[in-house]
Order: sequence, then structure tokens, then C-alpha cells
Amino acid sequence: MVLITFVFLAMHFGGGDPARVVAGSNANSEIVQQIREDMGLNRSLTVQYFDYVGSLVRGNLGNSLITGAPITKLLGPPLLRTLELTLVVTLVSAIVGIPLGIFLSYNRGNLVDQIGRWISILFLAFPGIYFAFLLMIWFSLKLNLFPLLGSGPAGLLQFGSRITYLILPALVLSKTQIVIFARLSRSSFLNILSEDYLRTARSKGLNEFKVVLKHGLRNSLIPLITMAGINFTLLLGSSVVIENIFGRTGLGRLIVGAILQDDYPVIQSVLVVYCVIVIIVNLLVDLTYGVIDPRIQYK
Amino acid sequence: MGLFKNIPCTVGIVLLLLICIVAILAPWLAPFSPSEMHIGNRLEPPSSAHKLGTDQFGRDLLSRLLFGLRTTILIGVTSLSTAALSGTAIGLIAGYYHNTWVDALVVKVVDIMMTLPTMVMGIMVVAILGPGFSNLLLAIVLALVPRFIKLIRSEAISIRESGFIEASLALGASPKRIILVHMFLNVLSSLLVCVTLWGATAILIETSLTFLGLGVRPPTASLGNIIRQGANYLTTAPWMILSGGAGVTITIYALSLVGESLRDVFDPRIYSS
Repeated sequence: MVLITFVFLAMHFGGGDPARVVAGSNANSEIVQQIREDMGLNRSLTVQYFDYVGSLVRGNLGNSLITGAPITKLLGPPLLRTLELTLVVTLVSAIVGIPLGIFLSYNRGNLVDQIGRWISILFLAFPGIYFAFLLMIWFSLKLNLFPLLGSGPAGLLQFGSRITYLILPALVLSKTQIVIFARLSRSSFLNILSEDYLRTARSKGLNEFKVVLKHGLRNSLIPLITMAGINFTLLLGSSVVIENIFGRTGLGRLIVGAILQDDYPVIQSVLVVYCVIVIIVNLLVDLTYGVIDPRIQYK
Repeated sequence: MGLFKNIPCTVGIVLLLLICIVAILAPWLAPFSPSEMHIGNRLEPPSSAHKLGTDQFGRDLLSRLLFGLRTTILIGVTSLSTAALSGTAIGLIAGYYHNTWVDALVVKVVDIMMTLPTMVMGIMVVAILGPGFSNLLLAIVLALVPRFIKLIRSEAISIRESGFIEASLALGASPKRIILVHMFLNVLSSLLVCVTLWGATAILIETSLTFLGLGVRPPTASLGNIIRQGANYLTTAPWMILSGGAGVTITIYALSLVGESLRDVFDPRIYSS
């Protein structure tokens, strides 16, 4: 709510004149005034604010200034695209990163650990933009393995035919995410490797694999899930750039296009959608705590 | 301190110094002016006359890269120092007045600002104020300030509880003196680490926003602009994007090397998190 208010106020005071955008740059001031009247921009700030929040609650985000299409319809496919990309990246990174971190924690302090560390810095520091273009030049242009631009067919169930479009962007985003997951699972495993309950599990005669999976992983999941939540919001940020590079019609492309065209209602709506995603992810993270660790209860 | 015995750190520092020298001396080092067009030699691959090739207007890419580095470093240094200074000041004050309304207010605002990811925050600022050089600076500052506040505040709180602060309070030191002398000097080491690491973030935000067409406006050369132009000529002139991207990568890598090594020196335990 605070964020929505903030976005509204910021757009109101900082943004340009929506009426001028609709009228076009050559329109005379009378026409602009007329449009302004029609759009209700002459009403007081509070009236406009409650009008806006009211229609938000009813699920009406207004119309695009440029195309006139209702924004709720405009948002659907890009939202799906962005969620698809970020979810795939989070899953892949967790599946690759966590075992990698566990492996490194077993090698604490030795050469493997040191090499792993400097490789991780190399990966973290390598800018996603550059990595994306290198992948494009190599895999799309030279080897012709993946489509260069675009995001494939739009249907919800046509995921299979979209997957070739997904691989390169997902690879770029996973590069950082894997390192973050590996680093965190390494450090949280270091903390629990010497715990008593692991020693007990080992002395019961469980094999090391079971010890790690059942006793170790479950106890280190809380920080990992927290991190996954924070990372998800970071991913949303990076996805803006990556979507624009690969020409994926996601939220990031929508908002950048809207900014360049001064389409204020669309900018505002995408920002609100970003906020809502962040809030939902945080809520999910909090709820998962209770599932992982039954000692945590919500009243 | 053993800082120079650390090979990655030495490499990083040398690289950073080189980058800074090159950026400062760009007008003297560049073979051509960054805006000088040689229409006859458009999109030429690297040759002896144009070491890194030319762009779609026949401008020398090496010169544009040097001047672009200059612009990007300038933006990075300005925004980073603003963010670090204001963030440290606010963080120290909030930490000193821990458990009062000042601290509570700061925490609330920081939490709200940090809900949005750094990149989206930057985009939001540009979305509201419009693209351009000064708005880009503001976007980077606003994206980084909450991180600085959060870090410095948490350090300041633990320092506030320590014995020597109590001792100087007992000796009658003013809040100003405690904040400026005792607390500031004690947060300096973590500040230094984060300035280098987040310097990389600042440069990344510049490149990303400019790449999206929301930052530095052409014809001014910046690393982001070179990449943006190169993206349009990916198939015909890949050397544009290769040199621009290499510039960004080397700068960020140097900053990360120094930052990570500093972290080791100041706090050997930390390479856990």
C-alpha cells in the first residue's frame, strides 16, 4: 500500500503531462486542456488518488496512452514470460548451486575450495550484459543452435516450443544465481557440519549421503529459502536488462518501452506489478518456514 | 597489512589504477576525437589505423572506448561517493540514536526502498524523472543509499554498545564527537570493502540503464552507449560489442578483486557469507 501510494505520488509530481502525450507534440494548448479535462487530470490530488486506488482494487489499471488498450490485458502475457524465466532460473540455480556448495564445504580451506572461490568471483563479476551478447554471438550466430531474438509462441501450454527461446536468457541469469546459492549453502553447511545431531546421525551408521540429505540439508534450508526470496527480487531487476537484450516480451521490455514513449499508466502499472510480486514472494518465503521447520508456527 | 602479498588484490589495484589513469588521460591517449566521423570508413574491422575498428558513423572505437570509460568512471565515482557519504552519515546517526524514533523512521524508509530490487529502483527513478545524465546519477545514488544505510547502521549499533563508547560518554564527549571520531573510524573498514564491491554495482547500473536507452544520451560516449550501439550491429560488426563489453568486464573485475581481498584482510572470518 505504501509503495502504491509512493509510486502514485512520484508519477504525479515527477512525471510529465499525460494529456500532452495523448495529444501529441504538435497539439495546441486548447486541445491539451480539453484532453486533460476528459482524463480527469484537473481534479484534486486526493480525488485522483482514491479514484486510482479504487480502480486498482476492482482490478482496473486503466488504458495505455499510446495504444488505448486496457492495461490488464496488456500485462498478462509479459507477466507470464517474466515469471517463467525467473522461476526456471531459480529452480535450476538451486538444483545446481546447493550440491556445489555442499561439495565445497566438505573441501573447506583446501585447494578446491580456494579455486572454487576465485571462480565464483569471476562468475559474479562477469557482467550479464556482456555474457548475454557473447552467448548470442557464439550460440545463435556461429553455431545457430538457438533463436537469436524473441520469446516464442504465446500460449500458456506451449511451453515446450518456447523452451529454445528460454535457454540462453536463463543461462545468463543462472550464472550469478548459481554462485549465490553455492556460496550460501557452503557457509550454512559449514555451520552445521560440526553440530551434534550430524555426529549422532553418523554414529547411528547412516551413510554420509543420507546424513547430508536428511539431517544437514533440512536444517540449512531456512537461510537458503530466505536467500532464494531475496534473490528472486534481484532476478526481477536483472531480467529487465536480459529481456531487452534477447527481445523477450516480458515485463522488463514492457516498462522500458513505456518509459521511452512516456506511457505513464503502463509504467505505473508495471511498477505496481513488480511490487506485488515482491510482496507475494516474501509472503511465500515466510509461509515455507513453517513447512520446513514445524517449530515455527504462525498464529 | 599483507595487502600486497595478496596476488589477486595487487592485480586488482594495479588494474584499477591503470583504468583510472587511462580514463583521466583519455583526451591525450585517444588517437582521434570520440565524435570525429570518418564516413568513408564506417563499420570497419580492427586495423592499424583504427585499432579496435570503427562504428556505424566511422568513429574510432578505441577513442570512444577511452572516453566512454571516462564518462562511466565519472558517473561511478560521483554517484558512489554521494551514496557512500550520505548513507554513512544517516546510518551512523540512526545507529547512535538506536531505539528512538529517528532510528525507527530510518529503518522504515530503508525497508520500503529495499523492497524493490536495485535495478528496478534505478529504472523507477528514470521512469519518473525521464532519461538523462543527472537523473541517471540520482537513480544510482537512490539505488545504493539504502544498502549503505543498512550496513553502517547495523555496524554502528554494535559499536554503540561497546565499552569504549560508554567510556567516552562518561568522559563527557558530545554525540557529534562520538559519531565522527569513534564510530566513523570503526566502520571505515567495512565501508571501504563495500565501496569497492558496490562500485561495481554502480558501474553495472550505468551500463544497464544506458544500454536500455534510459541513461547517458548519445552522442556522448559511455561504456553502456558503446554496447547499445554494438547490439544493433551484432551480426555485421561484432567488434563494437566485444570491445565495449570487455571495458565493462575489466573494470568490474578489478573492483571485485580489490573488494574481496580487502574483505579477507579486514575480516578473515567473513569468507563464509
